[in-house]
Amino acid sequence: MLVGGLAAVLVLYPIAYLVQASLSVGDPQARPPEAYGLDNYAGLGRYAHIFGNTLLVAALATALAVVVGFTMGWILSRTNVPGRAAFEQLMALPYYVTPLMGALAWALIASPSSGFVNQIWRALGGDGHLVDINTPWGIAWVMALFEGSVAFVMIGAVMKSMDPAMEEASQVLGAGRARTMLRITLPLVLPGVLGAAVFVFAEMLGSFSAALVLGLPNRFYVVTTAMYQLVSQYPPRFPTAAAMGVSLFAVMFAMVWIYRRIVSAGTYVTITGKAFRPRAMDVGSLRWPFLGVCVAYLTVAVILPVLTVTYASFQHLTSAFPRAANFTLVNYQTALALDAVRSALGNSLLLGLATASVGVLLMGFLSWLIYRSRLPGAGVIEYLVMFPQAVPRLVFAFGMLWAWLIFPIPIYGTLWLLLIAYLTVFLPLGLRTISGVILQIDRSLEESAQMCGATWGYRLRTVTMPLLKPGLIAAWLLLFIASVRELGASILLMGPKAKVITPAIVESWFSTSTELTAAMALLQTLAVVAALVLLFAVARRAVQQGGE
Amino acid sequence: MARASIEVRDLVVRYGGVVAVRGVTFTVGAGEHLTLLGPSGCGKTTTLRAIAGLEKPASGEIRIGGAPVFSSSPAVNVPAERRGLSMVFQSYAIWPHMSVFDNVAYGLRVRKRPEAEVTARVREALDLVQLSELGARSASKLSGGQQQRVALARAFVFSPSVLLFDEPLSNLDAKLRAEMRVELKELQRRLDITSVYVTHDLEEALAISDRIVVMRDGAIEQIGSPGEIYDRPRNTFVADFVGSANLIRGRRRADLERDGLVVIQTQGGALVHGTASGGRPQGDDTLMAVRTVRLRLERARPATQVNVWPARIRRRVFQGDFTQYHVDWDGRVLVVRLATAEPLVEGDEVFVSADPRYCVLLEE
Repeated sequence: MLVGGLAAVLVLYPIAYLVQASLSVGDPQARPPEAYGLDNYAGLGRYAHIFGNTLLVAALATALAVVVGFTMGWILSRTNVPGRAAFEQLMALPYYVTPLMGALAWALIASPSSGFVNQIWRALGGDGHLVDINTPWGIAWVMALFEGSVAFVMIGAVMKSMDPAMEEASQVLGAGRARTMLRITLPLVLPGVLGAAVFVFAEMLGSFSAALVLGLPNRFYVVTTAMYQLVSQYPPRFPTAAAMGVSLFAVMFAMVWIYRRIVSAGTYVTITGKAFRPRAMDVGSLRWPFLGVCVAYLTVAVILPVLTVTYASFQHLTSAFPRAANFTLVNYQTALALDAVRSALGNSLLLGLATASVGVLLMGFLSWLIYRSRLPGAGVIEYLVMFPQAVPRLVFAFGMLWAWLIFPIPIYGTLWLLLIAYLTVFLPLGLRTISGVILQIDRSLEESAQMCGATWGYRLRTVTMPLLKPGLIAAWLLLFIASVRELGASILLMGPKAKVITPAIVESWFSTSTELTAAMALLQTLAVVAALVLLFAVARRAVQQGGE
Repeated sequence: MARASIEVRDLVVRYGGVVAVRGVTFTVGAGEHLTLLGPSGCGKTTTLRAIAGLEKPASGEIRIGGAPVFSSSPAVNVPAERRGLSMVFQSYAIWPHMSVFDNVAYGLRVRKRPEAEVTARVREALDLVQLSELGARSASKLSGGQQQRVALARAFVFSPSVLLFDEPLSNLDAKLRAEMRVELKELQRRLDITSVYVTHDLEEALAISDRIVVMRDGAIEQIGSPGEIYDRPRNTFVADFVGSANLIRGRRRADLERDGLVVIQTQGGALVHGTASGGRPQGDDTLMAVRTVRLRLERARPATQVNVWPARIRRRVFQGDFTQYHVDWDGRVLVVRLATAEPLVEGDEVFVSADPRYCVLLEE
């Protein structure tokens, strides 16, 4: 109950302050507010174009991501494309590349003045620029590349859970392949696709990093970047930003609600809980074009961005045309020499360790509480901890900024605040990972230990924990990686003396050189990989010694 | 091995607003094998889990070996791990991260037995379920039947005072189930232990029980020996659930009753002599049940005084172990199962007869 209460405080406390700030109509800097009113919401009319921008970018990106997710989902789960199993694994990679890395890379590739594509275009005699990434289309493109893998996972799962007998029945009754696809397959997967679209749209509304990196040069704002601007300018306009945040949050909350409705009501026939071996359709020589589609997606979403950033990080001045004299290691030397970068990287790794370790304990206990304890009110706790799902991290961080500013223990500006923030915003991530495993473990496995006479602690040690181990390790890794690369919450909450690496990369992008930024981004990725390798080695040795 | 009796009194179990068990009372004698039988959702598993301590009843009392383990007033609720029982689960609940040996040894290690004793007793238990050579194998690499045996060995190895079985055979295929039924019965007798068994399978219940409790909708319909449950069902539910029975509707003819028999007259005018199982219904409109295997068909009129009627074979269905005849009788169809290969064919005029002992007047 205590842990449940703790989770409630973590989630609700900042939200309450966010709402309070949005209703403040006196002196914008006054804490607590001098007067309350709805003026801030009425004043949002001036920012109508920003809401329009947000909807435009989110809609474009969602459409593109769903097309990507549906195409890839269908190819990889229902056709006999070569290398199906391998591609399915590789589809997780875009998630690890992150939108920030993607945005940096695509800015290098396609910015109007110095983008590689445009450099080549001009070298070939072209005029002006061929492509421009600093547009709504460009932002949507980058966002869709990364959200595409999320859409793929969701839509692919629906396609896999469909009983192939339903299609076979249609064929046996005389319908051709096209008719079967149109009249049977499509209607059956439609609720799942719709659910994925709504979910992705909600995520896009709250996304931040691509819009920041690609939109700022042209002063193109979406709600999250506008909020960031309002808070970080002087004087900051907290109440307006808060009103924006609450509005965005309300829309996203509605979206998540719709998503849950679709998922619970719409997937009636496809999900039967039975495991099917999805039938792979023989698509003949179309296999090769399909293979091409898969390779193309991974190229633009993973290979090209990583290669581009790597290439840029070894250049004096980035150019599409490599010259021997232009290659250098100086960016890495600079990055590693900068105290700010070193301490930020160290802080991030430390925070990652702390978030993952505390998080696994906290979220493991919460999962058990919600899905196993049959405690009255478990359902309420579940809703509460899944709540951050519906709140953009930047908006959440804004609430925390206000909430913890007046907290009696001075944690503002320290890593402690970031730790609390990470633990809060990653509650849904950790909970979903761990509860997935908890739900797979049949209750009778614990009950039979009880019937053998084992007490609560003994059962936990000998049965529950060993069975949960893979899930806990996976959750730990996810939390670690997500924390080290967090941007939306960190950029608002980090103090001048306690910086973390991702916001530092963004700062560097806008204030120092592109090449140095690329080096920092790669260093961050390498640090994550190195930390994970080290941890695994240590863990394995510990396990082996323990076993001897 | 201490054998314990179980007393369940006025047991009520609720899930949220739903009452799963509504005031159930029965006892299990020390060393007795009792079965809770009923369709899914009748509350039998919930009752078993309440005895185990895995489900907290709303009210009532449960005693094991005379000592209360649950009582609503005064409030007593001994946790499952301290009730000294053991249980075989429907899903077997074999821990996949342990070897077969470790699975079986669990209950002994919980009780901190010396390792030498653990080894000896696990060996003995594995011998008893004929898995002696599989001890070192990982439990995740077992067939369904083997998992079943491991679950059994794990449940009895630490000499619990009561063994509970939650549909232990329902996940096995028909042939293996029939085999395990016999093995289970033998094991029960050898261990000489009190057991409560839950199943929806009549044959299983008849085969392994000393007594059967038939349940429906959270309440008890009838308690009796397998023979009583089979041949003397109290009401239509038990007659219907427990196996194929012909139900005959008719009016009571108290004026014709003699020698302790009851008589009813069907709408077609046939007189059926039978016995009353429990309380006799007062109304005019009554029902009698007679099992399909208790009816006889003969070409010549048998020499009995009562319950002999002419009939005509309408359909003959050969089913291997027996032949099922559908006969026209008294304006309706009776179903008769005969084990012998009588040379009867469709259209034959025959006599159908029944011993009044097997014609049972139902209470409702």
